[in-house]
Amino acid sequence: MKHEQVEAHAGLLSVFTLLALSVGGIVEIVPLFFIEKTVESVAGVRPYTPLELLGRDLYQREGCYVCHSQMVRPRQEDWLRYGHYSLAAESQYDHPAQWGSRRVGPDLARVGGKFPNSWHVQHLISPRSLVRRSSMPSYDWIQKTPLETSDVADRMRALARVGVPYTEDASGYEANLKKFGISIAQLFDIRRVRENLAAEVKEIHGNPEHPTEMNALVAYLQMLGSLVQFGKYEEDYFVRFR
Amino acid sequence: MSNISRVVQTTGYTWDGDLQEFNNPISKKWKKGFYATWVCAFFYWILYPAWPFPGIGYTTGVLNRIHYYVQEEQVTSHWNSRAWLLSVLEKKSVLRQQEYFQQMELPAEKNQKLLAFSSSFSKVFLQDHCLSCHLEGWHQGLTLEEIQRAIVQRHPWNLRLSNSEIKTVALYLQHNPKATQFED
Repeated sequence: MKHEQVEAHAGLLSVFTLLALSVGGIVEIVPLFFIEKTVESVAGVRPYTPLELLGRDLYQREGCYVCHSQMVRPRQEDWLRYGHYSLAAESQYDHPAQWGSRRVGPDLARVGGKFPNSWHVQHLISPRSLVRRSSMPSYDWIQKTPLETSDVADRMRALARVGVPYTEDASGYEANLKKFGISIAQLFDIRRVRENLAAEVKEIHGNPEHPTEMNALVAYLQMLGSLVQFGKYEEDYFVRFR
Repeated sequence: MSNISRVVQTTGYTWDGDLQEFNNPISKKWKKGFYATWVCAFFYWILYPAWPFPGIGYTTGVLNRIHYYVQEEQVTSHWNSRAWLLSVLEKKSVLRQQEYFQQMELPAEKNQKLLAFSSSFSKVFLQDHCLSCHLEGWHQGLTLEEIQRAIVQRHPWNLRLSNSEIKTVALYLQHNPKATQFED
């Protein structure tokens, strides 16, 4: 078939364009219908709490993903340095996932709980005071900047629309209660977001009246990779999902 | 465009009276290479886990059995990078342990190989588990046994580490009393 036959006839060109696009679409979309075999069934994975969610948005705003990946690969060197490889299940509530592809700094997928909060605060303000040869810039302003909390409910609503189980009604709350237990279900209730946020800030010794961006970012960093209790599973349990 | 010496074919038709498009096909060599990738992809689908499929979940591939050990029991699975990791860790950890126990037999003080191992093991260990609080360093001038005892008494590391691993860390601390910096 010659160029002219296809390109100079609108009807034929449309048909071929549609065909080419649908192949691209099918290859990306169809696997999603069989994804339950790919996402590992593990206990403990939950969406982000309101404070963690704000921290995650700061993580994206500051472009942390440019230098930090959040994906421990199933490779010996990653295993020894960072711990258990990342699971698909661990990013099931991420929109978008922060896997990243470049490691200027270390991977952060398992950084949660590794250092105390105070370490993260000092490290974000002055990285080289703790890691001598670090090339990370100082993020000292997030310690002074008040956390913008007025739109947190809207942020949760937006995520709820793409399938994250944040909820505003009784039936959604009941479903969360069954799936996550009472303390988590209350955290995902958008109607209670103000009290939840204040309680979370208080728990990490921040000022509930005037939380800072530092509070949110550290809360987010401290939960990364800490949801799945890998000790509960056989070493090779995750092999069958790939 | 005056330096194009050969005559380039156009796509053969004219838009708006005078607008023509060059037709510069890629060289045959590269085209063959492109088709070769299709052939490779085809074999990949057969050999490795590839296509999602109703019922079975996904095609697991053929001729790709891999063995690994879970609690000294051999398990066979289709090849994937997770199974491969388990088999590699198993082989490497056996080698590492053999080497390690050989070295631990020798007297520590003059054993350069052991000191080098202790240094690389301990650096990572200290960064992961100790330095976030012990920024000011630790007591100096203690003997190896005293350091070992101090580690276990302050923190229940003996629950997670073997005695020889604690000894390895203690050896490093004894030789590097001021090692309180994170490396990258």
